[in-house]
Amino acid sequence: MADITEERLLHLAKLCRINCSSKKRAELLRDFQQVVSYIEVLSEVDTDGVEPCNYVVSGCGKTPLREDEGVNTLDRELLLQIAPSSIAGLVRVPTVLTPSKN
Amino acid sequence: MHSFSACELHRRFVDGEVSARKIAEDFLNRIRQLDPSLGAYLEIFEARVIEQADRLDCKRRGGEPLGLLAGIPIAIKDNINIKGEKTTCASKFLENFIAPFDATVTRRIREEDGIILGKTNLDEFAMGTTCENSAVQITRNPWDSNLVPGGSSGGSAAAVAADMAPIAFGSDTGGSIRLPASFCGISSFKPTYGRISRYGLVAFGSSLDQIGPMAYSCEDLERIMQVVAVPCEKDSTSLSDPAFSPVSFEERYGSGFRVGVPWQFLEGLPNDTRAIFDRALKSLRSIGADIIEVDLSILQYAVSTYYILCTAEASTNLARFDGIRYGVRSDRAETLDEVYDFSREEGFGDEVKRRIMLGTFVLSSGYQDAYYRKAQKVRQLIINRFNDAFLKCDCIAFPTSLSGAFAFGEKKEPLSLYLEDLYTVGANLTGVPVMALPAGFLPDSRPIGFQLFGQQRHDAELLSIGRAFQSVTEYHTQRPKGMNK
Repeated sequence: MADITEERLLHLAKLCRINCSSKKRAELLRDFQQVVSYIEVLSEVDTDGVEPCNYVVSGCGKTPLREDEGVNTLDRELLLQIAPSSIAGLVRVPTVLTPSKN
Repeated sequence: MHSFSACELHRRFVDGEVSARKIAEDFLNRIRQLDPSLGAYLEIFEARVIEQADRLDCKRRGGEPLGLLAGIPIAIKDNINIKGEKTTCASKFLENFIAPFDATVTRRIREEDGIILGKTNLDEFAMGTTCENSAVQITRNPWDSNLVPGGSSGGSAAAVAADMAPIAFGSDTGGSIRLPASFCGISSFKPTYGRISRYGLVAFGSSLDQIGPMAYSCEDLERIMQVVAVPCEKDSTSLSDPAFSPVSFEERYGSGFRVGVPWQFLEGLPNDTRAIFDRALKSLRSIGADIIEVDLSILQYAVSTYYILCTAEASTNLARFDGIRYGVRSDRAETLDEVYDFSREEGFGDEVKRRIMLGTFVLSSGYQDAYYRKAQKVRQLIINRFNDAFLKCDCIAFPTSLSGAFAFGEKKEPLSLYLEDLYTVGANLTGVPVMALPAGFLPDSRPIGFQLFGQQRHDAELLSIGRAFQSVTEYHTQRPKGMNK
């Protein structure tokens, strides 16, 4: 059904931000093609009129709701401690917008 | 001491026959002795364990009430949070990640006075069948050090099998508790989806993931289920049913029960495994089971359905690992895009990358209907067939795997490893409770198990059958040789 080409693989890699190094590309492509051709067997199952399964345990289809009350979640200090980089109580990232050269 | 069951350790501690300190030291010594060659643990909390044991001894001396797990050492798979300790998921990405909160399972263990020994090895992010995908270390099978322990909860299985913990927790998305339990000759239980809170478990396939316990006996599994199978408001998929409470086999099934076997689906079973499976059915007959045939030929589509759904969910869940808020950020990254790209490239192993890419593919524009939506529909059909089968029987028997544990590096191609999940993924797709119990040994001495699937929410009933099975069999009392140093 789907033709898995190197071009498609690279596009997918970009979508999910997985760098697909040229060294491993051939192996990844081969594995990918093999798995996709295996999962394609599902096309032979007749699913006409079947609703897709969104929740697996019967009688539990609804998300339970709690009262809208404020609760203490995690402490800011604690969360900043596990961030790779932080500054002035915030998580630090490289510059997102660079000034225009003009 | 280390070969006592969890229930026996608890009884001896509560009765004052042995101190918590003595139990803790005995297990720590055992781990120091055996784990350097087995590699089951990623981290051992030596100081914390002794401290907690001393507190427990004080509590007992003071006549304070003791929890259900008092005196029981427990190991935890390293994808479940313990506040203030690392949760690495055996991934480079999280090698420095300190959990900022306790998982509900961890909290419940503490509340009932369980002693958490340490964190165990796994396939990176619980993705694998052999534990070889761990980015940290290899875990060896205590029955034969040339064999894999199975995965993904391989460290937990090896820890219990080698008596380095009487109980360990794993997580099961497609068989990750049951396969290693079978490969290591121990018992294990994957409860009904939602029966144990997933709060604090690092998500892989959220509609399939379930935490579950591993131990030698069903009696120990029942004990721990009473503590951890409780409603939890922090997991919206947690069942609101009352806490797990064991049921009496005599009262529930004393007048007989029915076990379905999907013979047609099991046609490809190798003779050796078939002989062991047949013997397990014979033992079930001896406790009152009537064996009948059920039609689950739809399960020929289970592995395809599973790998579409679990990779789709994994690609979504693992999008959060971006190098921004936690985990390792690449040193090479200079721009924001490079933070994402380089951190993920350096942080994830090959299997994790493969699954994220496959999941992205089945969800991508133009393919979502053909793969993801189709798999959701087939999942519903599989649930329907199970519902039909359960109209005729109380539980359904399956082998756990085609054969026993394999050698390191024996299976390399992803697809051949995915097919190892043939008999296990059905329980995750349908959300039913399932236990894998030791069922004997192959002619070359490798242990092997079999499974009983129960109806949704019949967790206690299922475990009562497991206890009855273990009252007439002795496989769960066997220990690997060469471990009694």
